[in-house]
Amino acid sequence: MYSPTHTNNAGVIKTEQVDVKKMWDDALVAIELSITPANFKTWFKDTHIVSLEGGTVTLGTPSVFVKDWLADKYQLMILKVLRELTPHVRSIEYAVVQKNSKRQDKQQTVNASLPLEEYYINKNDNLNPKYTFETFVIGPFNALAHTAAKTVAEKPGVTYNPLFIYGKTGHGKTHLIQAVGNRLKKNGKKVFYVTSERFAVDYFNSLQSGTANNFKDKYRQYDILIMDDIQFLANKEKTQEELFHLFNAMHDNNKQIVFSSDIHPSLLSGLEERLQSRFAQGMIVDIPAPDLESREAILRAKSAQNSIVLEDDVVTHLATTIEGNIRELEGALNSIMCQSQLLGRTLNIDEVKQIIKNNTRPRKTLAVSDVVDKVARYFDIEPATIYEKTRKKEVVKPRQLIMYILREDFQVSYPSIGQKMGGRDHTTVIHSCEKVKNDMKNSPELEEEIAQIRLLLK
Amino acid sequence: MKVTFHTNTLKEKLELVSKVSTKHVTLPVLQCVLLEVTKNKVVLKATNLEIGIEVELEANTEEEGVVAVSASLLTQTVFLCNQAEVTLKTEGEVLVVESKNSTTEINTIPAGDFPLIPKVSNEGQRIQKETFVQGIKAVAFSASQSSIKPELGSVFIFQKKEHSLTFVATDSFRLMEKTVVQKGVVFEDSVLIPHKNALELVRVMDSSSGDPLYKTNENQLALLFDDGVYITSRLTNGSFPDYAQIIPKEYVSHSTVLKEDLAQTYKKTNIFLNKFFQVGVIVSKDDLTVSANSGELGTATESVSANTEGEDLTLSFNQRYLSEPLSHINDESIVLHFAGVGRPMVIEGVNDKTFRYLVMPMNK
Repeated sequence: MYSPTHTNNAGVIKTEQVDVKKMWDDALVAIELSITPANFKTWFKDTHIVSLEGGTVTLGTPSVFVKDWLADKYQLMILKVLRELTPHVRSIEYAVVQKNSKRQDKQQTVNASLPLEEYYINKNDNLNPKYTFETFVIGPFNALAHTAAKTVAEKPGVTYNPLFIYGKTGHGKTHLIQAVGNRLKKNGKKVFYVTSERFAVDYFNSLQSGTANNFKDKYRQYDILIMDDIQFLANKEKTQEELFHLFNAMHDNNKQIVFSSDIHPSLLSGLEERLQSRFAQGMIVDIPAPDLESREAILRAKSAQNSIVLEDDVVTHLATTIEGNIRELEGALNSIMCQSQLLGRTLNIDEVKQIIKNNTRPRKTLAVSDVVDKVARYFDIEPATIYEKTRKKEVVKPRQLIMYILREDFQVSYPSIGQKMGGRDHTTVIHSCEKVKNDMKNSPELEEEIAQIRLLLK
Repeated sequence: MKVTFHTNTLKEKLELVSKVSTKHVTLPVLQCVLLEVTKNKVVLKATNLEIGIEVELEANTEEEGVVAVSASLLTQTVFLCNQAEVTLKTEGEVLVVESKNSTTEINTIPAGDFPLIPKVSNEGQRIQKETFVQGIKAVAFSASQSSIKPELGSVFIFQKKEHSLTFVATDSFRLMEKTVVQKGVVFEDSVLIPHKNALELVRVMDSSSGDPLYKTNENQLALLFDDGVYITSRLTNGSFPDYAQIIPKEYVSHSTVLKEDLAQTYKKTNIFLNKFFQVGVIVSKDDLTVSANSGELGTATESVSANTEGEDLTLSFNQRYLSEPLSHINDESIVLHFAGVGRPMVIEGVNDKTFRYLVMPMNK
């Protein structure tokens, strides 16, 4: 059971660990005196105290043989010795903990070894250690989701249970829910991350092999269950039913459950109502598309993680041309990284533009007049006025936007934009584009407008 | 305690059990076999704290009781008994082994010190013994002998495809993978069995009848046979490396050779190996040339006819890593796939596609 008082800060935990180690060393001295050396060597070698919580000592043993033997033969003696040292010890539990020896392989050999690598993802809980709160970039768009996740990580099973995070692909759902898992794992909780698809396959396999009970036990043992992409459970009625029972069992025991999906639970079709209503009983939070500033922040954070240097104008360019999906930002960043490694230097803005052009989805080529028509219609003015030499405020802004879009989205050259916009000088065009870019930084409304116009042009 | 056995049954069961008990230096009770005698049934137990075994046998019980006695002493005594029946009884601290015209007294050890043998208590599933044994035997030789990385000293078993199990072992210089048919068997989790324990399981499987029930939990694996044999092994806690990613995707040459030719070649080059067991392998269109140079003793060069497609290559290998797998391969012809200098070489069968052996070349 979880107790809220256990949210110690790191310092407290550390001193407790030191005490625990000394406590067991002292206990071992006493135990050594009271049993034969053979027994002491066989049964107490490689034992240690894993934790001391509320008077219960958990002893780590190297194997089940030792665990069973200590519990059977030495329980009373260990308890007595520990009580003499620390009077508030009430009971002892045993666990099998194999120590991984940290010694380096000193074997001298001329044989090259196979480049074997550990699975990056931990097989016991499926968590990717890369996803942590520390690497999560917080912006206005995901601040709420971040706070909710953080609260859950601090007080699992208490505040928001279940936590339901939804948002489009590439907005950081998986990162956030795995960060919750990684944090709780660090605090010693049993965490399990599973995609809904894997859950369904697991369940199906257990039915086939007649081990449904093992399946139930396996999932009920966790303190925190994180299930990603719940929308894939649509129309899988049997699996949903199993999830329903699992949910109830965990929720009743104050165990935390975290879900993610690409849409709001009430819009999930093919999902039973009783499940939907249960998703709604905790906290539902949305991660919308990142705004421009957040995209810049994300790019800066990601480039710092990969230790590459990006010029400010490169960051701005990337953030303005690639909207919405963080994964696409990462993709662009990766190709820039790759290219700059190849050339052995930092790339300038033109080279970056070249790379991005190849990487972003090919856009339809549109006639300039189409763009003008659509933008004019958006602002509810006559298309013809755009080409005129008027400086009316309601015309100037659409005209500048058109120039900006023609330049950024369709890579039309400055002089030819000027020419098509009623014979303007290319410096005028450059000025307009810069102005829009600068204004966009300070005005989310403008950014929103441009996003809408871009939608119209698709 | 007093009980009478058919000598042959007792011999057979004692042999199965006593191999598990070891000459444990610190704890004498681990050298023992424990006899638990109840009405009409006797259970023999032994453990070395890695493996635990329990064997049931029928016997004619006169008096119930429990006794722990040195496994090797009891086994030797019973093996030398040439009578049809043998009687075991306790007299104080002594176990008396009696047959017609022979009496042996063996000192016992307090039975209360005998460890508990862990039980894996879930339903389990039937596995097919023969192919399971094949799987372990085919790969166990590749496991690491050192105890520094326990996961490399283990046999890794997992389900890659339905109705089959895949066995893998590696010591980080070479790797053997073998897939065997296991109809209807479903492995939800992979297991890592310490390779010595795995070979012990093989020994017990070979001498027990029928397919066993296979059970695992987080820390233990157990096999339960219908003839009353229960064996349990510790599992290695850890994760096996992601080996699929090191298998080369592309090769520069493929050489097909007869396994027997290659085995003969290695026997000759074996005489002139240096201290690194190094052999040079030259791959060319029609033959494969293996040469050893011991420095002081001399050199040996042997050619085997081969059918090579692709580039000519020169590589160095540790000969042990080349010759060891041959005895675990059933196919007559094998293909050596070369991925280039400094990259792993892969051996496969021409007909037998159930195994794959990977070996790293030497640096110089």
